Amino acid sequence: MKKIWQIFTSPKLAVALLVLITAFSVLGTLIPQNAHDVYYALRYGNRLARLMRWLQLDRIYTSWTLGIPLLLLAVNLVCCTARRWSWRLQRFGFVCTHLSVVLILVGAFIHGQGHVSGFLELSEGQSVSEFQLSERGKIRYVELPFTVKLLEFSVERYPERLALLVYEVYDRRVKPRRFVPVGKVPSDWYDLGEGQRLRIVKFTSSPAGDIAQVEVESSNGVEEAQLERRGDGVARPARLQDGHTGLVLAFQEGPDKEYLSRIEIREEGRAVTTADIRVNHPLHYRGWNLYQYSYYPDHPWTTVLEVSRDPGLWVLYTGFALLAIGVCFIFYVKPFLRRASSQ
Amino acid sequence: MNTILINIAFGGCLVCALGFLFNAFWPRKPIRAFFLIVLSLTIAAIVAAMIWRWVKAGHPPLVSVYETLVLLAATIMLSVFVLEVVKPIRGVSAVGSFLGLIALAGASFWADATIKPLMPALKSNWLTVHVLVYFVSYGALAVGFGVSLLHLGRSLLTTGETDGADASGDLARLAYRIVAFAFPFLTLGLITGSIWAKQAWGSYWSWDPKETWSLITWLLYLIYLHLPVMVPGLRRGGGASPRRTSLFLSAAQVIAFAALVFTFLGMRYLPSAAESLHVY
Repeated sequence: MKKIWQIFTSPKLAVALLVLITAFSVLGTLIPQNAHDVYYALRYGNRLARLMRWLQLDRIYTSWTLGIPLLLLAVNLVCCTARRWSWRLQRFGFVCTHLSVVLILVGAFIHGQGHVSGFLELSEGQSVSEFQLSERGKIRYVELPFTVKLLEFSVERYPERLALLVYEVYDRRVKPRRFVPVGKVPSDWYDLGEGQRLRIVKFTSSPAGDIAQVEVESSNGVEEAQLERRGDGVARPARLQDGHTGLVLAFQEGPDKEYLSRIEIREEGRAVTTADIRVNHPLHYRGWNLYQYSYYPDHPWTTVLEVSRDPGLWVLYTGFALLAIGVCFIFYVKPFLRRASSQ
Repeated sequence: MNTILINIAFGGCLVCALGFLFNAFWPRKPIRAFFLIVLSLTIAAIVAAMIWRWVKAGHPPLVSVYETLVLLAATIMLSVFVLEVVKPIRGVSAVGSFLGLIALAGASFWADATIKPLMPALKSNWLTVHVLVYFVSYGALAVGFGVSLLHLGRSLLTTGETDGADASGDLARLAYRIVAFAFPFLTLGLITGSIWAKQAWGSYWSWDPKETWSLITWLLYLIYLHLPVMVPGLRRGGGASPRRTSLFLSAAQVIAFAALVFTFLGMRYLPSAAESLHVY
């Protein structure tokens, strides 16, 4: 028993666990996560894929392989803190930071167990009181204790900007393939698909017009083209040697500046409140959080809201606050206290 | 105007790097004072460039790779200045200025300087807090990395526990103290990022590659800070810290800084980058 206590109160165990957690975190970014079993078998071979599945490296962040070191770390931190517990002011930072990490882990666990998150698609004028939830590939609907009605959805865009439009011509029909932004010159290489990539090597702009020189690399070699767009808006496109890829300087629709859902919360058939939900400005109502998630560009009157309930969040945030206070105390306050006590 | 100011700063970094190197071999107070003035003017030029860009863009210049590299150069040079005033050690300011020069070179020759419009997720007061806090730590940690490199270099050139090795131990301790200063900022960066992610995307942590690598960087520096507890000798050893211990610590810091650079600039090379919300 004493031996186990010694192991669990050892900072060496903490560091060993931190190294293990770091290594698993790195692996999670190198191995594509949550892909189909066939993908791993094809990429890593059957034997390695089986081992990876057993170690749950295909879903590492929810796996027992990461969960066990995290659990051991929490136990280790509690034991370390208990062993070195002191009411002296100089120990405040140590106690605060170590317990804060335990609080963060507990908060994350509670959140992971009780967290509910899904999506709500709403068109203007539509009311719903349930949202869609995806769990292990299955879709289910969760009832809300209130009704959400979309009064209005609006998208504000930045002004359109000059870009290089790559398009395809088949049977006299023109189909846009992608826009390449005009910015840094020479630009990075942009993948056009079909084994082609493009970069802008020179760009000049004047009131008379814009001129771009581009290089397109394919299996046939490197091809150069010059594109012009006159000040009066007339553009001269270029056709590549493959015969069906065209390039032209054109104005691209500006990126999203803001999108906003004006909603009404209704309970028992009557309006309780109205609110504007934007990115970074969620609505918190009766324990539920509504976030502006996305919208469909082809259906600009339909919004996608994310709905979530987050138990354990306050535990987590308390952990964050204690961690910030503790770390600042250890590295900024404690050295002064130590110096003062030694004087 | 932005280019002129950045070019002035670039020249300033170069002059500081060479000047402090010269001062390391020929220490004279007036020379040091002169290069401290050049260093101050360099910082002023970078800050002026950032303010000019802020006015032109209409939002804090903390969004694109170009803008953050310029900010990194500013925080590196600021860290060099503070270190040169508070704890001048030969060669440290030269290495720090050289790192500032690399950051500015990256901004000038590699990054896209076009002013990009602010996407909805970045329209938050958290942007300024989160990025500034992170880059204060990045700047200091870059200088810490420079000090560790200097320590490794000097240790390889000197053998045994000679005077040179003692000075080298000072460098290891200085590098440790720099990390100790920067770590709370790194922690605050991680925390503010998490709170902001919750507000913007509804999830405080989604194991996005950038989030994961910022955690990895934090963990590596946390491990580094715990190493003296495990390997006694550096913290209480005074000038006679064992050579191998201090070398080990400096090597650990170099690894941690490599993770930091990858977190900052390497996300696009990860297989999971396509799904990342942080690759703009």
